[in-house]
Amino acid sequence: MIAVYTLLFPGLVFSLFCGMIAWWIERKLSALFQHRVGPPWYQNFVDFFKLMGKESIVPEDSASLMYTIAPMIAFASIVSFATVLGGAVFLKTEIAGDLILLLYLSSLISTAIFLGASASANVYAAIGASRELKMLLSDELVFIMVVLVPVAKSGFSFRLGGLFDNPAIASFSGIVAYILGLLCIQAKLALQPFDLPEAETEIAGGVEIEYSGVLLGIWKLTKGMEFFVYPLFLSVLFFGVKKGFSGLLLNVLFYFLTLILLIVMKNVNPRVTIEKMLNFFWKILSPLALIVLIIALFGG
Amino acid sequence: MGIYNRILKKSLWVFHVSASPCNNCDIEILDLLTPGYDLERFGIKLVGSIRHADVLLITGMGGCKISERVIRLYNQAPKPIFVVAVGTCPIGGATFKDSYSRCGPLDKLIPVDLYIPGCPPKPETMIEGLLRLLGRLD
Ligand code: SF4
Repeated sequence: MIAVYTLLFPGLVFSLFCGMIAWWIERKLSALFQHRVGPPWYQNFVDFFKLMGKESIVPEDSASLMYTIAPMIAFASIVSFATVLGGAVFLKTEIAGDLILLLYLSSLISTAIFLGASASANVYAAIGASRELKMLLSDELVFIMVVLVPVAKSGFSFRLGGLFDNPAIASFSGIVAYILGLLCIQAKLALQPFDLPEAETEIAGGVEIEYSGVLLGIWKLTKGMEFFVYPLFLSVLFFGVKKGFSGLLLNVLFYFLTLILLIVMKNVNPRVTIEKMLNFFWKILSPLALIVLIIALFGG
Repeated sequence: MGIYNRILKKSLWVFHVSASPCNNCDIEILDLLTPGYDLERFGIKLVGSIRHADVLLITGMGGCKISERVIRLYNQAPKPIFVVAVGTCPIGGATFKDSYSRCGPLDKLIPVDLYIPGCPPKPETMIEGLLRLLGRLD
């Protein structure tokens, strides 16, 4: 049963499909924002299959073992993330402390990106890697405090299932925490204004610059799945999971609201520099998140 | 190879090399990305790293210094890779025909799959050329 959960639903195949579609929505909407036509819906699948047939080059000076396994670590983490999250959302499986597990898995992905980039012996990749690590350090604290808000609301349950019945978005602190959470997810997905580690126009793809062929394809898969699971995580965290068909519809709507807010934010913002990003997260968002958490503890 | 080529056709990632052009061709290439022409609808996009590329788009007459780099880039690219020469420069040198620092034409350095002549070619011509390349993949 575990194998089915992990490989088919809600793990690999299902969330991969949804992720590729969510990524396409991002590309298409960005194109529409710029008055372009944009790619067809199957574009991401085609890109992936094309990469599977290309030559995979391992650079001579790279730490070749780390270079090859880093994408797999990231991919394995995101698949387990999708399975645990999807299990709680769709199948109502109960795992003690799955919220904490998810937080760890999400930082494991960033760590794998950092490791892979620094193993590839490229200057641009090294810049990307250092930025990735700084971003992890800056958004993680805020993100943990944001996650603690619904936890405090639901009487300190660290099971995802326990959070679903009384949605946190219905209160003042919940709304503010949701907005803070959107910013953290933006940083985790590396979308503008926080696309520092990739920064196509500045460091030419940064962390992925040396990857090609199959290994690049695995990075793309990871990225595609992130587009599905991170917004889903945020939306169920604050909106809960409703019962029945109309409830499902509401959930889907709220997921798309989250996704579209992220995409709009991406398209109206330029990239910030790394010290601005650190300042923003450490000096503004962290105290704000702490205040929100305290308000939530007093039931506001 | 048939199915793979049909997939490759739908997702060509382009890496742009400028091997001593007069810069006009490069400006026309940038035009391709503007909303008026939008290459992303064919799945074509510009990438920043040679390791991601399927197409090398080369402009310019191939100065002696850059020629080594062009060959190195060609060797660094993951195969299969297609080379598209944009402008008259890579073919005959255009204005720079008699330049002392010319090591072109391009096909002396690396195998070229497609020429798009013009000085500079219009963006429409380039799109047509790239689509021909797609047609040739069948
Ligand atoms: S072909 Fe003409 S326009 Fe293009 S780089 Fe050469 S001289 Fe310039």
